[in-house]
Amino acid sequence: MPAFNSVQDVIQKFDTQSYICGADIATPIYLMEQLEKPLLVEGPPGVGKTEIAKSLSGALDRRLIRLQCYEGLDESKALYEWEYTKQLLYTQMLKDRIGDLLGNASTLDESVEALNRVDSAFFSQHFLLPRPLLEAILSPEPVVLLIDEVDRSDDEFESFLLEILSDFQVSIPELGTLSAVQRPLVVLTSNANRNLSEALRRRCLYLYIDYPSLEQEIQIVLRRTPDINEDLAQQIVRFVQKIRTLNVRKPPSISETIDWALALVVLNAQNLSRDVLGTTLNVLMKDKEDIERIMREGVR
Amino acid sequence: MIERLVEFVHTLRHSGVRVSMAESMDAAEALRHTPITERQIFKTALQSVLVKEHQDIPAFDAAFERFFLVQLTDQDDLMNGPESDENKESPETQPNLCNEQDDGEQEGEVTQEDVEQEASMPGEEEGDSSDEDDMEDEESVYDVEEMLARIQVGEQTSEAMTEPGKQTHRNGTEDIDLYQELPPGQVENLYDAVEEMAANLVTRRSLRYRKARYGQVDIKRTLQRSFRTGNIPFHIVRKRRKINKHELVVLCDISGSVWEVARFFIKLVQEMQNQFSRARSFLFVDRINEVTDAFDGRPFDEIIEQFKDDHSLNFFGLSDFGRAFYQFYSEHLMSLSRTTVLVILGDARANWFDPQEWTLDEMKRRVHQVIWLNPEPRQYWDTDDSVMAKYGPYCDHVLECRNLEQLMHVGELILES
Repeated sequence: MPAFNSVQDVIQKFDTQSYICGADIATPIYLMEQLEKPLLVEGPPGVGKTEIAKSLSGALDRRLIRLQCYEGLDESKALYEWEYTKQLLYTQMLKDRIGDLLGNASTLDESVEALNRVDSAFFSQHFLLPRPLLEAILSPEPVVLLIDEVDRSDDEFESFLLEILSDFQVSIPELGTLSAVQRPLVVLTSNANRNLSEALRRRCLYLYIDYPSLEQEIQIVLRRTPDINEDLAQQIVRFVQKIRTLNVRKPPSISETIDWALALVVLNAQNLSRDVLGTTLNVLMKDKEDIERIMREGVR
Repeated sequence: MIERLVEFVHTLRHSGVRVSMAESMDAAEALRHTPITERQIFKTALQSVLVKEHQDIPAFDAAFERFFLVQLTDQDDLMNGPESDENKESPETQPNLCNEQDDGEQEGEVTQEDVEQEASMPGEEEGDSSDEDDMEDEESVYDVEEMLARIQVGEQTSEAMTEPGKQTHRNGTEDIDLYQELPPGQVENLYDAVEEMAANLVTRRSLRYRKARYGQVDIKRTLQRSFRTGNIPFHIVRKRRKINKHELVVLCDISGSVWEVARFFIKLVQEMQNQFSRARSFLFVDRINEVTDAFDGRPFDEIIEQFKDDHSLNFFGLSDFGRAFYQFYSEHLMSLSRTTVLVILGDARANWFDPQEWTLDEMKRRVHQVIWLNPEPRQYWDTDDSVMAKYGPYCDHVLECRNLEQLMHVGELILES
């Protein structure tokens, strides 16, 4: 049973998660479900790339499994690990039973055979410590898998992802190949720190999110800060969008706009006076020089 | 529908977007699930499947607008083919289905005109071969063409780069005119080639990182780990071989004669930037200027063009190595350290100014390595005002660097230093 009936359905369901999006964002999301392909999301920081995965999991009521990428991330942290300690503990506890097991064996060969019959017990899924990727694959109910900031991982890890992303299966030497019980919905995000390989891009659908339009951002602010009056919201968004057109070091993101709006509501500000700016601008702008410049020059 | 799609993919490839066969098949699959009567959704659906890089989106937009100009008829046409029953849910498509046979042929004509006029694709005909064969053929032809184009570009630039060496009396403007004959398309191609090269170099380097994970056994940490497992060393920890990340400092002469090579070298440095703990770039003609922060994610060409207009760089002046080096020596010497790799790119033509080679000597004492790249052919070194021999002794490597192959060696050398 498909999760979404149409692109409109995506927009509506995301709306219930307070994620405002147009057809430009909803179409790839709808398609990723239909085509069973991962979705690669790129865009400037803070435009809601990660939020897509969260809203997706919320809208479909599916568990979100998140894998944060970083330099040096490898299989044992992303896929699985054997739980040595547990294996050892079991060995200790089962020591006494070994006598019983081997009691009937008269020759060495027989005891080896007897042991052979049970040794798979120690390399069973019981002792497998699933990391996010394996967890997503083994989960009996469908999940949303978020591979966040994939551009931070090494090239090798990226290549390793290819198998999982195209076939949704992994090979574990002791157990064989495990295939996905339910195909997870996979969202990858990237901040373009590094150019991702062509091979990875080919396997994904691609979505580039830019900063939203004025109307859209006002909508978003209104939705996320319920107590705000529309007038102030408009002022805020206009101000923020103006700043983005200036050549600042770190342009404010959507999440920062929302934070700022929340702060202004808490402080009960009615409009953007100079005093208000002076005290709250650090919520929006995270660079000292940027703040000084805005205060000095204004945004006109 | 498939035919139209294949044609569209061709148009896209023609405008420089890379589309693989698998992707065009995905596109066909995607269209089965999208209501093609809604232009916006139809467009984003195609875009998300066919375009995988942000930079390609404008090209896609343009191609889409051109190709699907005749909206209504296109939709009719798209309804043809085996997929039509999938789309029955959307009510608007129903009437079209009845007309499909009437319209089918007409659209074929529209399509061809469209393609010929707008995309001007030679030798494109809807043959009787099946779609898939068609696609495969086209793809291979395309690749060969691309390769040929690359090779030609390579040859031309190496010729172009040789030129300035032959003219011993150079003045800035003449050279620039000469270089501007390089059509923009080729410059783009070269940038792409440099990008690819950098990616290769970096991959090779990350192999070193992987090897580094399998160093000698680290007894101390193995024992520590074994406490968890009852003193049985289940998990053997190996020492990571330490790989030094060097700091890279680049001094680039950008006077007219060297400019062409310099921009590709800067591009290479930018692409490899994350392989160094820090990479700083300085440009000079007769004064030196740090440009590290200028590369802030804007299109590379735009930044490069901006340097040309920057008065503090005096782009059209005479290069004065001595003065630039002295300035670097007095302002930035303290920032050099044992981990610094200093790369200087210049033709060492000091225009009869004092070369002040002692400044380079001072710099060499402080850094790990000095590499000099000279874009002039070797036989012209030390003729006329070239003072390569004066600077040479203070460099660990002096290399000729005037084509992409040599640039590649330079890249390797810098990464392995």
